[in-house]
Amino acid sequence: MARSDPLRTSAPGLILEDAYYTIPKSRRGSARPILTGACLRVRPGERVGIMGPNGAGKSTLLKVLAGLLRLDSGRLINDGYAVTDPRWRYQRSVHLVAGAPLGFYPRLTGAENLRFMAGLWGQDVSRAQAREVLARVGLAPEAAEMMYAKYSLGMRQRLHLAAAELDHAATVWLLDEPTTGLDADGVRLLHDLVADRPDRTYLVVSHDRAFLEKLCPRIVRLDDGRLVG
Amino acid sequence: MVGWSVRYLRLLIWLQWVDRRATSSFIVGITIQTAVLSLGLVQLRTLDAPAVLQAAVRASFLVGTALCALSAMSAFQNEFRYQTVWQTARDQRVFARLMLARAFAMVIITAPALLVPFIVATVLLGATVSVGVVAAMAFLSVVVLVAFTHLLTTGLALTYDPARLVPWIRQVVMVVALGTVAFLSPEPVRNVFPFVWIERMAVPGELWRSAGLTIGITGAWWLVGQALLRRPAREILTRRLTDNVESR
Repeated sequence: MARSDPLRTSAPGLILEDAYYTIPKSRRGSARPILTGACLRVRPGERVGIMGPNGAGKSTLLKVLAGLLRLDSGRLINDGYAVTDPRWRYQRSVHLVAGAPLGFYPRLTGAENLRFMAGLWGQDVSRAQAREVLARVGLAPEAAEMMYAKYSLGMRQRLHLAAAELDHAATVWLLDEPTTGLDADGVRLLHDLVADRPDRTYLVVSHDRAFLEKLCPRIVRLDDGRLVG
Repeated sequence: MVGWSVRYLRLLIWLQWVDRRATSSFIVGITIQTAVLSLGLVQLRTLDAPAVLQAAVRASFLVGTALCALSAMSAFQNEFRYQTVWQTARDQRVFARLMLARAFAMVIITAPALLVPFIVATVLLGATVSVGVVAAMAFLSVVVLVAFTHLLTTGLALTYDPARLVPWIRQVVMVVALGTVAFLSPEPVRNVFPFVWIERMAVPGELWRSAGLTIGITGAWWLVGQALLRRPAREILTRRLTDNVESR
């Protein structure tokens, strides 16, 4: 179906070409260039770690790759769908795990938040199904009925992973500091989740070099607006 | 884009309820306002049916427009505050639909308070009023309020500080559109708002014409509002995502 779609533009995989992005000038500061001709090609199923100094713009890069921030210039394509696709198929194919502590409604329970997020992506998830997914990420049944506001940092991180698990349309996961707040079991769980789905593409931002080296065969560095390595 | 199930809409109504319930003034405010305005209706019991029903419509909208304005203010803001926007705005068509669904959900949770003045009026008027007419007026009040809330949600998305604007919008709705201060609300001005046409549904022989005008004027407001506001609202959404306003 997709192959014959005239709006599809190129080969499979994630392609970022000659990308420029500047955080606009705000009341609190001046404009800040984040990407200055950055290029990245990621094959389907590849796992790529992204490192870089504080303030280099790694999280912003992930938001650009998620299609949430608009490039000033350059190309961004996943599986042939450009980020400018009028039917938002690029954005549907990429899931940003922006990570704890925010990202969910604080007054809804874990299960309700999951059902809400999955519903946005067109999946009608029952309470029982939500609990099942939560159990898979190590959140006990009582956590499913607990308000998100009462979750610890690690529990919040696990909920983010559970939400991503429910996004079946996403072929690319963008993980921003996924180990924040996770205990050793949580980090192991993250490894397992990634290992269970070798068909999925992962781009992982982390300051933890050892973690990245274990998870990602390829590591790139964001330096002065360019991706190297 | 896939359709949403009834079960999902129920979840959205629940989300709206838990959000509103958390505001301490919500339940207290809604109860006091509804009770006071209903007592006001009791004082009018000697008047004829159209006059009592007119007061019921105004009582209903005085409560409804205030609550829904607050909801419209927070629906867009909270997406940034909780940073759920990174998921909800992935497909901006879904985001637009979510804002409409939240407007609908807000009116649903406000509905009991909206209906109380109509129930009080029906009890006071007894056999002198048709329950069908009152039900039609109440139903159209709900429809008008959904459109009002949605329009306001889209409009308030254009400002970085909607909290400053909401009191002014409320005054305009209360004084001009609902005609609570007669000299500030001349007839021709009131006629361009749907509220007055719901009131006129109570006048004998005016039901169908007024109902038609209510629907027509509401539809026109909504369509013109969407045509004018939708695009700038999308641009603001993109700009705020880009600026990452709340997280800096």
